[in-house]
Amino acid sequence: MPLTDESQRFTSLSARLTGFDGAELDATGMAEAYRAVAAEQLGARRYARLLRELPEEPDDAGDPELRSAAEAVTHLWYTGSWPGPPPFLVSPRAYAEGLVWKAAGLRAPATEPGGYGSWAEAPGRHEGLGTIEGSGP
Amino acid sequence: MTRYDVIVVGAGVAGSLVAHRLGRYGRRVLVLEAGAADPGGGSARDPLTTYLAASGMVPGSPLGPRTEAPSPGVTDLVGADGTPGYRTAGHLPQDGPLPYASGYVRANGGTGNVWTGLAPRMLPEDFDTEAFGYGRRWPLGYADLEPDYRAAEEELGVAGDADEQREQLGLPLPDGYVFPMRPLPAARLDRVLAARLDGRRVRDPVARREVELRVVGTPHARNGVPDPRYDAGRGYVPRGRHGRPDPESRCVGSASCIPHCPSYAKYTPLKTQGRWSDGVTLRDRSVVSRVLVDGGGRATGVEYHAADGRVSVAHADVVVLAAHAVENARLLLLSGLAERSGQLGRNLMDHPVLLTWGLLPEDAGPYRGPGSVSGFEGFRAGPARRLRAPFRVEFGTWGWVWAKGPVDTDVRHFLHGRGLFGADLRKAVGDRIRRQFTLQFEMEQSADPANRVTLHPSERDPLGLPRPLVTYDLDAHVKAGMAAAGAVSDQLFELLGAEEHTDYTPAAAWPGRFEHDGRVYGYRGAGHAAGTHVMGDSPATSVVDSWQACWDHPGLYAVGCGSMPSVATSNPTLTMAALALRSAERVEADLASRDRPVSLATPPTSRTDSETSPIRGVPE
Ligand SMILES: Cc1cc2nc3c(=O)[nH]c(=O)nc-3n(C[C@H](O)[C@H](O)[C@H](O)COP(=O)(O)OP(=O)(O)OC[C@H]3O[C@@H](n4cnc5c(N)ncnc54)[C@H](O)[C@@H]3O)c2cc1C
Ligand code: SF4
Repeated sequence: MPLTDESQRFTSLSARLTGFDGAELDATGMAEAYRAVAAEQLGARRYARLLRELPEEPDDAGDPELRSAAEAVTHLWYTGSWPGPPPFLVSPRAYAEGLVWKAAGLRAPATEPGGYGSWAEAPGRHEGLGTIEGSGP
Repeated sequence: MTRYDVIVVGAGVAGSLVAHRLGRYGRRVLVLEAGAADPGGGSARDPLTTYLAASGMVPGSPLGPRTEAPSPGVTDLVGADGTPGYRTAGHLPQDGPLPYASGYVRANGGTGNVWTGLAPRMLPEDFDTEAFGYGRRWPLGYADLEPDYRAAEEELGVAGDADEQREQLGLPLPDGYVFPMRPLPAARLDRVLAARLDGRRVRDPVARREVELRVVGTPHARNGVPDPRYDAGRGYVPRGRHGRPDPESRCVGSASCIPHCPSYAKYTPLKTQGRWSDGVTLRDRSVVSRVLVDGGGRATGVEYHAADGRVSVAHADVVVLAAHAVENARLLLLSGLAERSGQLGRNLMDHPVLLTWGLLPEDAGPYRGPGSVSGFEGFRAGPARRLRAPFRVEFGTWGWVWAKGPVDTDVRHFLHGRGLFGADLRKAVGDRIRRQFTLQFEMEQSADPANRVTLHPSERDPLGLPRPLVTYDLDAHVKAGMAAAGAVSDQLFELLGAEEHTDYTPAAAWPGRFEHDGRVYGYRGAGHAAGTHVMGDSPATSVVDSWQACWDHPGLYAVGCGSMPSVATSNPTLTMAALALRSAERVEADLASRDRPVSLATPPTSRTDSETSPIRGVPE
């Protein structure tokens, strides 16, 4: 898919909103789907305003319309769900790629299991479980 | 028309085990199950989709029961301001002072599809709480059930540490006994708690005593590493998806056991069904509506609403009701049977669970592995239970999900509530989720005849059958247990240096909420329905005898947690499974004595001879 100016804008907006950089967002593979959801759910006018008018620091957005659009897009990235109304999950992939899990260094439940005994370790330190496998009295 | 020896109503944990055991004896068994045979509806839905459709909606809406056989849904019970502090909708209306906060699943495999899989035994003293001044005594003791416990641990494939169960709980496991599988590795949370708390003491202000803390692993009905010492050195082979031997099958830590284990490491009744002999027939999408008896009160069969919409009947020498505690009572009430003692439907119990939650100073390692791996066992036994309900303490390793809902709640809190974006949001959300943990205090509730299931006077289900109506409350003994648990929790948070976030608001999220001695407590239901067709040693005071046979109806059994005179502090399913296997032996004995005049074959005498584990090469 050719990278349009608009999708670039959406990614840089998303990076500002979420605290994840463009490469991290791209790695989720969700940017294009979320751009489409945001455009559709917000409607052309609000979506365009969000892309163009959101201040550098999103929490400076005094305008309630801008502010709620920014919150909705951030919520989408973190959870894979559009907050509504009515709320909906974009796809199972979106759930698995939710930034909420990445922010905590975790994987979403039921996706990419860590292996037998992986629950013994702190997040991000789950590799090399050879010693746990087969241990016991 | 095929003539059956036995009809089993309901293919959950209890019914699947009874059918399995009797099938092994060569009996012709008809299992009538309300839900569709494949609880996923036979669709190609991948486990993740199933899970997503279900998350936050436990138990089991994605399992697709027929609309004709509805079950209580999670959103059916909502907290409200005022008295009573809750509202109900759906299949399980209620009219008691406090809500019965547990659901169940009517789909093939039953509630056993969505259970957590914790499988501890009861303690010997749990069989007689009358000695402590409350509840009802069992008509059998721990020693009577011990062989059946071992058999149940084989059927469910339990992973546990026998030495630790002996030393820390005082469980009299037979010499040399080991569980089929080695204990699961402790969770990160368990290790942190053990490092900080093992050997420390907390004060129970209700019982006025100190309890020494010790983190103890819980026995699990999920595949771990087989113990080569099991079964006199013959070992054990874990069972996979369809109950077939699968040596490599292990829990891989997906953290979605409720409602679905994508790797099929967790035991479900479908694994037992996969091992049924040819003599067992499952007729699914068949909702039983009445038990039929002859003039002498002997069971002759059942009436059921078949998938084609017709009302059919099936006949057999023995009828075993295994439709779950609430539905078993409802079926007997609908049939007008087993009512002599006046106890039918009464003594409904659950484990009301006090939840407390907070943030550890460090990583808690949440959202990986089973929902709880270990706990504190030191509040379950002893004279303290005279003064307050005893309890098990489970460590909740899935963050705050049971208390607050899915992690979306945390995102909403920082994003919408605190207005954070960007790096601040990322840091706050990550930090909060990594450090989350929950303590789950599961109270024993005693048998109180006032807590009951009756037939609703006017509300009908889609088949026109009266819905069950529940009347429920918590007594002073349970509330005193919660008060002790609350005080213990305060001390644990203090010792851990943990930040407390426990908060039983908003009202809508906490239907089970009450005030006691000036403090507000919120509880959830554990899904551990018990009582309702209580067992005892006299037909004047109980519904079934110690074999779970209805006193007044030869050939009619009601099996499941509904028979339990006390729910103890252990999660009840293992005990229920042991009782079910014991009943199957009794049914077999009934049938064998029926057969004797016409058959010269010797009935099997020893269960170990005829019940063989798959590793010994018996065809599955
Ligand atoms: C979320 C959750 C977690 C749990 N975790 C644990 C745990 O960790 N440890 C533990 O020990 N216990 C746990 N439990 C409890 C456990 O699930 C139950 O004790 C157990 O499933 C009860 O088994 P059962 O066979 O009596 O009933 P069920 O498993 O409910 O099976 C009853 C069956 O009967 C069928 N049926 C109902 N009515 C009819 C009818 N009229 N005609 C035909 N069929 C009918 C149903 O469709 C179902 O298949 C948990 C429960 C819940 C809800
Ligand atoms: S933690 Fe995962 S693999 Fe283990 S039993 Fe639960 S769902 Fe199955």
